[in-house]
Amino acid sequence: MRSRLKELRAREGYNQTELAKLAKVSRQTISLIEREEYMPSILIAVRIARIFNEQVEDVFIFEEDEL
Amino acid sequence: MKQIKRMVIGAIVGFALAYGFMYMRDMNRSDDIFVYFLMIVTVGLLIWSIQSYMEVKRIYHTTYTGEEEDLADERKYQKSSDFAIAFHTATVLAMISVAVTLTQQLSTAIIIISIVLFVGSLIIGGFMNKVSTYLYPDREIPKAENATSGDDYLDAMLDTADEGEKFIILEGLYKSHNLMNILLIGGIILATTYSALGEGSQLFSIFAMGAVLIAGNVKYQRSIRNK
Repeated sequence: MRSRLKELRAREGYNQTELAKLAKVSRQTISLIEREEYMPSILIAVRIARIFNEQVEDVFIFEEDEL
Repeated sequence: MKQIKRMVIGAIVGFALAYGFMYMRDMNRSDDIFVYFLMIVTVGLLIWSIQSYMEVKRIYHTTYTGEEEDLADERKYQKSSDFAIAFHTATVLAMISVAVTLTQQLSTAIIIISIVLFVGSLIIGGFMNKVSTYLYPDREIPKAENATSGDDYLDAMLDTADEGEKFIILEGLYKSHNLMNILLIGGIILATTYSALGEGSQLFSIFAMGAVLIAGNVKYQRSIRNK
């Protein structure tokens, strides 16, 4: 899974801590997702996508062989 | 293969340490030297834990913006981990000091100093709750005195973590569980070797380590089995 979190965060001008507060998670969770070391739950993925007004599949991108 | 390699290295290092200690035992006042060494290391660790605590507090009371805020939060986490490592290690070393001073019947002054260090490390350990409030100012950190049982308190503490933090905790615990197994097996091998080569029997330690090994693994497997 590839994540566009860093790119979207830069676009909106959020730092990790600010995004974490909006998504109601810790900064560590945002950092893990951004480094692609952790795949978030559906709930967190939807929350993050909503913050950026994007579809979940446009924030978290899967390769065809992963699905 | 990696685990076997680690275990062999651990056993060799442990054997060298035990052999060194056996050699030291022949020297006069070796117990005193050993306890002094433990006390110096304990004091050093307690100073490190206080410094780490002060750093966490300083970061908490400073306002950061932008990327600096993320870096400050990262540093706050690192310093809180340093605090936990320092006071945990200091507490264990102080406990060993107390045990050695009492069993080897060293001078009263050394016994009192080792007990003071042990109590001091426990008091500093009590600041862990304060560190948690600096780390998670928006969270309601459960208090041990409000819990009905130890398990309830641990469950409540775990519930305060979000999914990413639980993932980090799981990774850390899994690694430490495996390491603990290897070290305890290494410890049993070491104690058996020491008993065979040395004068004193380490049978009690062997039974104690075996019991810890069984209890830890049964608890782990039962947690998995009951899900």
